[in-house]
Parts: sequence; structure tokens; C-alpha cells
Amino acid sequence: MAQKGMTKPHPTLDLDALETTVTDMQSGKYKRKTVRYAESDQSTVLTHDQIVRKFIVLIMKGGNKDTARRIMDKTMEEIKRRQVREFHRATESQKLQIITDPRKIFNQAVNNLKPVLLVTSVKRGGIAYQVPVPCPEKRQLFEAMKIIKAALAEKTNSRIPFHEKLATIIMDAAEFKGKAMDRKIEILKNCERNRAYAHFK
Amino acid sequence: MPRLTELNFVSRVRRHIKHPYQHKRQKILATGDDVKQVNEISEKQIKKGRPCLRELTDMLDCWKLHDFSDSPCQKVIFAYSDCIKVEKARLKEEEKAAKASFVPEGRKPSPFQINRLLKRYS
Repeated sequence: MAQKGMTKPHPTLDLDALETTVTDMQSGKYKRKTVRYAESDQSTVLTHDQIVRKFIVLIMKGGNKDTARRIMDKTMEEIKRRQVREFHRATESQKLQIITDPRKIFNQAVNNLKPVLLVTSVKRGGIAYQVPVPCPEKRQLFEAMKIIKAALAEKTNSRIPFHEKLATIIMDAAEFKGKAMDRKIEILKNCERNRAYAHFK
Repeated sequence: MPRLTELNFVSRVRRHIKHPYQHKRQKILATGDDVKQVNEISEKQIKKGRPCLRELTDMLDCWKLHDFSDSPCQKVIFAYSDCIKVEKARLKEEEKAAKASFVPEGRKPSPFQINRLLKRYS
């Protein structure tokens, strides 16, 4: 919604950035006096993660953010339960390597799924060629989450609850395997196939 | 408003024209050089380079060798992303410098500036 104050810069919600002292108040970022309003589901609480929030908005359908948030909570719980089960079964040397924090696993999965190149269509002489193009950072985040969303839409024979499906996809992506990783590799293979047209753009 | 270029002699040379009112837009000088006076310049004259092609090819070769897995190709990926960041910053600075001073010194004026000057003085 276009309201007064929505075109201004975003507020900082990182606790580390808020606690650091600023020496140069006249430099570009701090020249402005006004800052954009924070959304109602943003906060500076320790358990809040901006990337998880973006993903919840992507999953949401029909404005039902409550159901999307509950699904995400269930997936985090499911990830934690599986990792703790592994932790108890593992030997002492392996226990150091197991991560039980589901937010860390989610961030790791998203980082592993970020594509460096994308394919765009460029028209030359009436023919549309597929040209590999570098992907900016903000778009990389979005593409990684889009890959997860597309992997969720695949149909399986057995009826699995949604949060369990999501949990398997996230845990596999954090270890460089699974459906989401296959989709990312397909994008990169497409770029490699069309490398001859890289100089078009 | 006085003109920068004084037209001594203007003639309407008969030419194949598509639109009946095209001759009003183009005033043709009857000098030895067939000079066409134009109100605007297209901005497609700037040829943009193709940056970071070598890093791109290195990255694609590495991926093909290692079956598109990320861990053995980390160095090449970082080189490519660094190259892109540098190019982006350079382009931004060039655009800023081109638009900063209206009549630039020591460099060609951009089409944006030429169009503004033409509107002012013609």
C-alpha cells in the first residue's frame, strides 16, 4: 500500500548493528532523519529472522499469513526433532559436527541454493536467444526461495504432511543434495549450454 | 531567440518522403555538404562493453569438469562475483560523472546533454 513514508530507507533490525556506535553521522546513510515504518511481523527479538519472514510471505496464499507462519513453525520443530534424534544416536566425534539450530540450517540451505547465473531471453534479428547473465544479490535470495517453492509443488505418491515435506527439502539442500539442488543445477546447466551467446548482453 | 548557427540559405529539396509533413521537420541546407538538422539524438550510440567474459568462461569450464558441484569451484565463483561488483561500481561512477557537470570538460557530451542543449538553443 502506498502510504506516507513507505519510499524511505528500511529500518535496521540487526541487534549487532543497533549496538555499534556510529562515528560519522554526516555520511550518506545517517543524513536522513526519517526512516520507513517497520512491518507488524518484524521485530528485533532474538528469535526473529528476516529471511524466514520473507519465506513465510512467499508460502502465503490468499492473505493467510497465520497458516503460513504455523507451517514454518512446524517445519522448524520437525527439523530440530530430526537433528536431536541424530545427535543422540551419533558417536562423540560426530556430535560436534551436527547442527541442531533449525534457523542455521535454513540459512545454510538458502545460501547453497543461490544461483550465480540466470538465463534471460534477448531478441536479435527476430530470434529470441537464451543468454546467461549474472544474478544480483537480492535476486539470488529470491531465486533460492523460489526453487524451494517449486520443489514443494512436485507431487508424490504417498501423502506427506506439508511441513515434513518442507523439512526434508531444507535439510537436503543444506547438504547439497535433494530435489531443490537438482533444480538449481538444471539452471546452471542451461547457462552452460548457452555459453556461446554470453556476449550478447 | 537568436540562433547559434545562422542559416544563410534554406531550400526545400524534393525527396522521397513517407509522411506529407516530413519536410517541416527537416530543414535542409543548400550547401555543398548535405547536412541534416536534427532535433534529437538517439541514445543507442553508446556501445556497452561485455565485461567479465573470461571469468565467466573459467567458471563454466570448472563446473563442467566437476559436474556442477560448488565446493571445488569456490575460487572461480568468487573471482567472477568480485569482477561483477567492480564493473557495477565503475559504471555507476561513469554515469554520475557524465550527468554531474552539464557541459563536460575533456570528454564527449552524452546524448542526454546534447538533447537538452538542442532544446534550449533551437
